[in-house]
Amino acid sequence: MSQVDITRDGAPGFVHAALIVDSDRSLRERLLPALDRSLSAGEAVVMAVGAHTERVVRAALGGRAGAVEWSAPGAFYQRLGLTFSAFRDHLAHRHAAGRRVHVVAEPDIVASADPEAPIDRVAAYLPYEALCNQAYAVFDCAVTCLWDSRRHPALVIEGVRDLHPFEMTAVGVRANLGFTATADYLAGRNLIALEPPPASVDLDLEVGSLGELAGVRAALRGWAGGRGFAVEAIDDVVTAADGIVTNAVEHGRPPVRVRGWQAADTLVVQVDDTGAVPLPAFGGYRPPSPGQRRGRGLWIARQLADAVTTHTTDSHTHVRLHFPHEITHRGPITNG
Amino acid sequence: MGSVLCSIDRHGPTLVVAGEIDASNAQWVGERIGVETGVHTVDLSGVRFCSAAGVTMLFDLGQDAVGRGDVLRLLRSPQLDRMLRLNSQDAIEGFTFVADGGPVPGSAGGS
Repeated sequence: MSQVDITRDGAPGFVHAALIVDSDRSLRERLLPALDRSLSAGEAVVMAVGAHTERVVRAALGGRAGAVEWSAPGAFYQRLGLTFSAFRDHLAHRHAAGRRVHVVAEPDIVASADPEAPIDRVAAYLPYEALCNQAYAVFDCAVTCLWDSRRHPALVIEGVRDLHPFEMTAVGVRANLGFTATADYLAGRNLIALEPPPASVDLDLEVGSLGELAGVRAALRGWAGGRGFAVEAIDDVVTAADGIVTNAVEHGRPPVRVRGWQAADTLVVQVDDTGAVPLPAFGGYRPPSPGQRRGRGLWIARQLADAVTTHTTDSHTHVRLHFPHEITHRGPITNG
Repeated sequence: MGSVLCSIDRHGPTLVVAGEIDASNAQWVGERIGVETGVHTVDLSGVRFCSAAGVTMLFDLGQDAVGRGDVLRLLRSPQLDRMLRLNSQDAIEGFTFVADGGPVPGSAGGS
């Protein structure tokens, strides 16, 4: 591996690095030299990390801790799509202000999740890690993603490592030769089969035309309301699902099947069509451009649902939306 | 079909749209608004649901207004406002965003 200097002098511009630690000592050894370099170079340093990491790094920095901006991870980590958008907006704001920023982020995506939830939230977050490589690159910044191997399985850690073009090690930031290109990773995600829906569901609707959308929305409203969702959260479920059903009717092939069920605290909506048209690798991950005429439905769904998983087979396209109660009621929506 | 989901009423220079706008009726709504002349304000504060197709319809209406050298006032419902924010649209060319009481401070309408 070749070493990379992430300070302004000789900087390669955008640096998206994984920082994988297994102890407080490894955290200090790997992160502190990088923070020192960033501060010395006059960069703004933003730490969006958990309480334990903050304590360790503050103690290690001593008097220099005051030069660092400490941001509670809760300010960023909400629904997964919104989390990504919040970071993007933050970086855009910093870039516009004209000062290079080094953000150290410790994804806080497991702590508040229901352990019985029907989705692996960490796995659902990884596409956004991959997307950083393209979406944040224009902001000429450094983003260091901190993952603690004491909190995540080895497979997750290896997956995280593969999605970062750089890794922060004890001897500096180095290029990661095992890096997986973003487009390849995202395309592969659509090939992963979803867990089968339960045999018994709350809602099971068939949609043949756009004229039936209003009926679907009414059914979803009644269902989510009956499951204890508040008005704004119901709107989110309905708006997200409407966009996916519309896509299925317009771009897939009717009949479209819409199912809804509850698993633990999560409402799940699955939309299936028989078009078997593979979704674009970046489908719904990139914000629509001003005036863009199509392609907004999946973007909206990825913002309003906590997690969206998709799978295309030879005969069907499946899109599954997850709305955990607590996370969906966390607000307000800050995107945009 | 479109009129089943939403109503469009004219009150002087104001068009008041209420109900739901989705992919099944967005074109109808856009055409109904588009044929009216002498309209200064499009009041969507009573639209309880607007899909992405409705947002696209507003872009088209805005472009038409620009083509006429016009700028329309647009009143938004909370749901439409959220849809626009999720689409990173704090402005639509050809429209000035206004609240019920008048222009929203800091809005960038028409830009």
